Amino acid sequence: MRRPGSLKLLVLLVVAGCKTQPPPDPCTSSLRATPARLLTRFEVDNTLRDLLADGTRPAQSGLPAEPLALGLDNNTDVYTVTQPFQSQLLDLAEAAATRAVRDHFTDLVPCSGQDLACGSQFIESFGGRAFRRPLSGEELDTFNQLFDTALTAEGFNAAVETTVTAFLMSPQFLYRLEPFDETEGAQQLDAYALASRMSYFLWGSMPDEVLLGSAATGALLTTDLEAQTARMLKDPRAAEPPAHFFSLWLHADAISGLEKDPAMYPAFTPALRTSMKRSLELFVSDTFAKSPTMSTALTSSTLFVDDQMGGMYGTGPVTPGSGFMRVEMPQAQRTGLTTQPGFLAYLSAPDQSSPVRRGVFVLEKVMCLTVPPPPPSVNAVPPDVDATSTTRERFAVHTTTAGCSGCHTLIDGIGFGFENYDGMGAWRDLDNNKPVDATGEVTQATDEALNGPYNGSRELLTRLATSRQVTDCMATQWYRLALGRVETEGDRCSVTQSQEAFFEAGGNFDGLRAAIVKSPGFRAHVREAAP
Amino acid sequence: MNPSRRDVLLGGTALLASARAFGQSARPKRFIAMYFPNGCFPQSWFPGGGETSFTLASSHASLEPYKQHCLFFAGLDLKVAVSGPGEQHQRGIGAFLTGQTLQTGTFVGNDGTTSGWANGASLDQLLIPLVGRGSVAPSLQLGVRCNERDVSGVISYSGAAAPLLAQNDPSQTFKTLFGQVPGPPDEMERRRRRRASVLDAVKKQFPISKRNLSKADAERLDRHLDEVRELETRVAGLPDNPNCPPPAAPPDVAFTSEASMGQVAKLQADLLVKAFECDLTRVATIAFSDAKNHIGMPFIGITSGVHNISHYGDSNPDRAELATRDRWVTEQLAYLVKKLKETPDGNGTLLDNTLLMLGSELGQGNTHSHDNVPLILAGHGAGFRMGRYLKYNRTSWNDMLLGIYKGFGGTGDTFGAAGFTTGALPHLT
Repeated sequence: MRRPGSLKLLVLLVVAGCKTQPPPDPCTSSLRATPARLLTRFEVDNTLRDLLADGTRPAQSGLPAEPLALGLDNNTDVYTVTQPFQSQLLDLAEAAATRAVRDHFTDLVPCSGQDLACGSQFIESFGGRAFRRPLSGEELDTFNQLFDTALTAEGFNAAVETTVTAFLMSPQFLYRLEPFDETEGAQQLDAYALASRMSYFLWGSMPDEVLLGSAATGALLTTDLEAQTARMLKDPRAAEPPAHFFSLWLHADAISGLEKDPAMYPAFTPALRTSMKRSLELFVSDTFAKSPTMSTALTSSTLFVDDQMGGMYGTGPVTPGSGFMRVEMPQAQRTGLTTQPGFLAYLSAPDQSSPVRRGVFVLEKVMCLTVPPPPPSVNAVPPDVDATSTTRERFAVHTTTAGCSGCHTLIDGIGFGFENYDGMGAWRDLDNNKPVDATGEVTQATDEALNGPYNGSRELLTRLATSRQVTDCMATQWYRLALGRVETEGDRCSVTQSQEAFFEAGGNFDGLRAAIVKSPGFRAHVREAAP
Repeated sequence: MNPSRRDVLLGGTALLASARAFGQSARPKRFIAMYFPNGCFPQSWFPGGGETSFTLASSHASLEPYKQHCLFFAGLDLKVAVSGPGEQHQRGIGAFLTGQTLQTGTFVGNDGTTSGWANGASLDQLLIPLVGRGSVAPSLQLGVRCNERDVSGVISYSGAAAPLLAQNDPSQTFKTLFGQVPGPPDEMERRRRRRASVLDAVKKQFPISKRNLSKADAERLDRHLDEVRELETRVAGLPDNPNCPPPAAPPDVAFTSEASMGQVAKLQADLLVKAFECDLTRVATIAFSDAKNHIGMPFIGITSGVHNISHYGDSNPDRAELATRDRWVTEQLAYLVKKLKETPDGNGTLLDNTLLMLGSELGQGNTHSHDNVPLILAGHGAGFRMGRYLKYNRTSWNDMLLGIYKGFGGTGDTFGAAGFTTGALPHLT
């Protein structure tokens, strides 16, 4: 169902195609410019896979980690190159070039002459894929010069290797650069730039030949946009950005550094930690491999376990060496993304569960509510563990103390719902030999249907999964991911369109992504007036 | 006193001048700033006694043999960290070496408030033009499980909102300093030539790419090009240390895990001392984790999160566990002092030409106060009169930063954000 707003936009675009000056569009008139975006490690690895058939994912451990802005790794305002980045990139580019020449030489070089003419053909074909658009004459010249020098010094194969290294270190490869014409304000985005925006959002990788072809004819800017979006969403690569997004969202990386109090959790070992992280990643990939909805993501009862995790997480033992098993758990025991063992272990203290951290996560990341900080006079310390009380009894002091109870009724009202999961994310019916009380109450939701008492995380999450507040919250976070920046007032119209489309699509993530691609904010090209 | 990024990168040109300024000493001066989070356990931190006759508190036992090479402090307040965007840990770590407030931004702090990066260059970076640069890197940012990749994990800034993130992996530190494991000379030379031509071609892409970009994007590419040039110098300079053969490459360690902190700290310290010895770099920072950690330190018997421990009330006996952490951090300083003292440098030792600084972003974790922030200086690199305990009365931390800056020959009357400096800290010399 196309919204009236986007119909109007299409009309405007058609008019723009006829070279008439369109009136200012309220959806784009106050948009921020989309700055040049540096490829993240995730994007570099995917791009190397598609560009060089290199599946080694060298950037993940070989380049510095990105700063996280509101939990996302691709925020262009904070993700910039550093000294370690450059020297590590040089190592990475050299090694990738060596592998490419060794393992995929014939795919890389489209001709058999070991001379400069063949070198030029290689530069033109490879360069057009590395830079995601045809090279300019000047660019061709600089790379031909490099090739020539290397050919004389070290021979043909070494010249290819040297040239690939230089391509991978060039700004045209590392950044998504989007050229402007002379005018200020909103203007037509270059078709190749749009192709890259789409491919990095939908695939986390470079455009393929079909997409570049659509950009070459200009069809992508007009009639072909929706067809390309639909095609790309059906491609297996489309499952990867959601998997990556939710790994960030669930702090999968932090699980690798998790420590537990051995007195309290003797079963917690580095091997278990590694398995928990992998289990979480497998769950996310599996869930997003088949066009999922908010509802499956938040309520699936699937769990992946290996021999480290088997037994502890309610599945029975798993034969060592047999890898991970996909298990459908009893519905009460696992309910989607936020009940994955590694994630719940992360949202815990070293010696007990943490209703506060769990509650704050749901409020901030699932419901997009801002939780006010504790007042300065308060010691924000978890209560000491003792063997006679339940976690809930110990945390109850928050909700009964004046000055704390305001916020903690809100926070713990949600966090207590997860009390059936201990500090390692394992299911428990008893806490210190007393029955777990996992009742709670949602308060202060802007979606009235969310407010009210519930019993246990499954009831809570089922309610959240279909709430408009929750789908809106998710749509906003995906819009940030798509644009590589935090939304501003100028994005309101695009964000609203995306939220509505997501809800109308029944919380289907493909519907959300298609809507974001169509939104004016995603496609606008704004040159901000010089200050 | 607010040099552009290019000035900092081109610090090498100041080398000759500064060597002359230091007159008789032909050896370069060096600086190390060390950071630990969450403040200290004051009862075991502050010495007893007066300026020249004092006894060390238990956290500093490891410094007893080096007492005459150290300055102990009380009464310095990180006043600038009381205001501006962000929560107390973010503001504190941002101001620790910059004396600046934070910009607004999107980094979520411990309590949900948000901030951006610090609003100016840090002391270590400002010292580069004064001490000159080593042959490989103008400075090193070393981390010991400093995992936060945002304002909570950064102490070093080359300028406003220009963070220098810490390198936690000793293998990467080794690579930065010593390049590849050495091979046959002709293979090394071939590699160097190839790298030079690659970087030359890469540099040529920048003027081409910058056309038709917005001003902000063109500036972003300029900064990137600065880093490429920096790398180019390093690549060209790598084999030029015949008198300083590289040490053995460090073993692979699980550097993201808190359990490895002890091992990582030692590996990083050893590489740093070697880098000073070979004059590969002259300025470094070491961050012993970040200002947002909820980690334990199991290798010294702390299994509960240090951040949480630091919050405990003073009467809570568990809070004394924080002193165990303080003792460990001080031991890392003592280890560096010992190594520097054992390493000849000109007619003296490296300790004669190095100033070390160890401190935190808070005074006490349980009040989140920025008052009486822990600080120790060590070494003779800035010409301070060591072996004393200096007690100030609510004096601004920025005065201390300015004092160090001037100790290295810098000039000026203020440091960091306007309004937080009353003058260079007195009594240092």
